[in-house]
Amino acid sequence: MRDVMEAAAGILIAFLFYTLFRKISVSLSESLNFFTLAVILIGLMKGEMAGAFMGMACGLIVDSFSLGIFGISGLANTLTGYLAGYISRKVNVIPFLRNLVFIGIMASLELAVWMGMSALIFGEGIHFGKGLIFLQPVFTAIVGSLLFLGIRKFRAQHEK
Amino acid sequence: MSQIQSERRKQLVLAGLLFFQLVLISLQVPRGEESSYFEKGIFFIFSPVQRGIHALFEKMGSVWTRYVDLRSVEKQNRDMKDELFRLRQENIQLRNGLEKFTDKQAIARILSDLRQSYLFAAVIGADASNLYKSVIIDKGSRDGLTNSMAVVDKYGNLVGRTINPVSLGEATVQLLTDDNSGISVYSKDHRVVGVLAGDGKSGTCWFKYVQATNTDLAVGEELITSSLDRIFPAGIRAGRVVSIVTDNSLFKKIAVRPELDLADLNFVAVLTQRLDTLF
Repeated sequence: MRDVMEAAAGILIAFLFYTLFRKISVSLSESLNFFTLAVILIGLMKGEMAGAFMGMACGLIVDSFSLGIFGISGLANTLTGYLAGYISRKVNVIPFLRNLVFIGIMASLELAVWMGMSALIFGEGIHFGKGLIFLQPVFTAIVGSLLFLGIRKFRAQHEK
Repeated sequence: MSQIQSERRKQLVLAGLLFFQLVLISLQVPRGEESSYFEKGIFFIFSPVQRGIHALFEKMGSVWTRYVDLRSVEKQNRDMKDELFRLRQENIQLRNGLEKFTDKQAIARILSDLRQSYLFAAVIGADASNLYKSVIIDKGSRDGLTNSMAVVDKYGNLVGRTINPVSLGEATVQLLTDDNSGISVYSKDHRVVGVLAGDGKSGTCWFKYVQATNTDLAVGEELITSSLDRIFPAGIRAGRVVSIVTDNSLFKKIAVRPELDLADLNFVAVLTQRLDTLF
């Protein structure tokens, strides 16, 4: 039950930041994907199953607020959430630099799957936000790894 | 349960989730007008959250406007008084003009209908994956909104039309810059008729189906809606021609800059009644 509540809180926080950033600056919101960030973090902390379900929930929310095909973001995020949980169980991605690279790779994977599926279904070019979309994995990795570090430190202090 | 069985079970769940979403995708290809109940359900649940966040943000903004930025109020007040004076004069002239054609009772009815034909709405969100496709507004079916109603900005320029999903208090507006949008328009000076479609990527639109042999159309010409599509009333400003290319194809390649300014799109007006049916 606690895991579900944490995931729901994660979705709500991601949604809040997504809406706020859209209001502040469109460029800012295009260069940082809060939903993917929430999915990767849940995958990292709770494992592949939680990551996959979180990915599906977040992806379908993104799809329902877009005129694109319903399910593309859901598919990309489900895969990302599962792989984030699975790989983090096999490889140690706790150290900061490794974590930064790992989140960057996972965010790139999500973007690649989303772009690939969109190009396959629409059969034409997709919106790149004047190239800002390619900065998404970089910014997501930086914010994600800092957030992960913060959560770890907070938990360590809390346990003491 | 052994480690291998646990792994296999997880992979099966993943395969199930992916399969479910592939089915969702395949149900919509080729894309239709109607969104699924599942998609509508998610929109119904989360659009009030977006509305709440927008309201909170607006409140914070209004605190700033009220208490910190009072310096500009006097100028704004003066400008608005000038604007009010101008609009009153325009109103008197239009009423006088109208009286020449119809009796007073008919005028009263037309003006009453006209007031009820606009519904003002605030833009509370943008498209989650592509800025140039759609926006979310804070009025929905409870306010009388339905699918395919024309939407204009505060200057009267064309924004797009309402499209599903429309929830009780929120609605989606398909922008004219969306690549699936098609609006019947004509050029103001030379009356060249065509279809205005978005490119969905850069905010530019294309004026389609103008024959390569046509020599009338010029760069800078204004495009306005023609109402031939039976969605958008005639006479709304849509965009301006920025380039015309003629190659070996049957039609010209005409790029159009929409009048709509996405950066300034905070409020819109939804035309709940076709204005051309009032007169």
